[in-house]
Amino acid sequence: MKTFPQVALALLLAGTVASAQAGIKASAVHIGGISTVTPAPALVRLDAAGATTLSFTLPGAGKKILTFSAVCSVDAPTGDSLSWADLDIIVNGVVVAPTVGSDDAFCSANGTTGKNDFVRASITTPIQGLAGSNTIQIMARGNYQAAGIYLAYIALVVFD
Amino acid sequence: MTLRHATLALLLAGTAAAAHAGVKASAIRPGNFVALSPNEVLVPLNSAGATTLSFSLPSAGKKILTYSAECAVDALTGETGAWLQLDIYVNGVVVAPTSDTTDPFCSANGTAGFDGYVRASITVPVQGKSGGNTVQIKAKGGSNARGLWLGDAALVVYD
Repeated sequence: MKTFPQVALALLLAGTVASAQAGIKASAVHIGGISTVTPAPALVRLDAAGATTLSFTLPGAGKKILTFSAVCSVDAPTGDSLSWADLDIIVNGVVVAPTVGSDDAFCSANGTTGKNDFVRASITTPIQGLAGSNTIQIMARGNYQAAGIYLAYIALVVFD
Repeated sequence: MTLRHATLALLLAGTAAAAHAGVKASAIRPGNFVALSPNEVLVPLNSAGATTLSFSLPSAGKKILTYSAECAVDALTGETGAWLQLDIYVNGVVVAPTSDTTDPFCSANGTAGFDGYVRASITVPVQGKSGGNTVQIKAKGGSNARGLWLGDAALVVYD
């Protein structure tokens, strides 16, 4: 049977661990991002140096929360309000749900040609972190008749 | 102090530290804020119209700020380049990436009047300081915007 001090110490350690793990694990903020003239998939720049991978370490494996937001626009022919940009959020080399595939529009064309009708779109999703090194990449692509996509003023935060 | 007392003191200290995790401040404004000009304006953050959210922190550190609102821009027919821009200020300093002058939160949709509403959202890391902290949101119209709309807004600071 544990004594009072032993029980108290166990609770203390549990509380300390929980406290130490809370907060921001990684972040990237950049006024740029990506502006393409083709619908081809492209990795979004996450900092001013052009890095497309955000790397961070975790003391232990566990679920984290990832939020990505960006000003978004799609260039498509006049009259086309269907074309869209989709994102794949890639954590440790694996695309995370619900961003798998290309059917998940982050923003869409508005029927006028050119990049306009900008909106700050956002997604928050749970991700699985690994003990040790982790990486995040954001892949964007145009769909349907998209002639180009625009993502800028990006903000990426991983936290718990 | 006995081992038992020391352990209890440490336990209480640990519990207090753990209790600091979570929401640090929040503000909700139901209803619609409408500005009938593109001029920069402080956005009301609650029903009383307060434009500053104040809170205190026991120590400095990175926090997370999320702001979302129903958003629309009034511009002339055919205008899809006009936009509403937000600047998020923490302790009087504008926070990246909202520090630029051409970062739309939402845009006009080519028809006159307020329509084409979308709930836009931004989440950014912010630097909190020990003691008193403030958050303000400024909105401004870009290009040919002639009116700004931010409704049912929610602001949360957390870690």
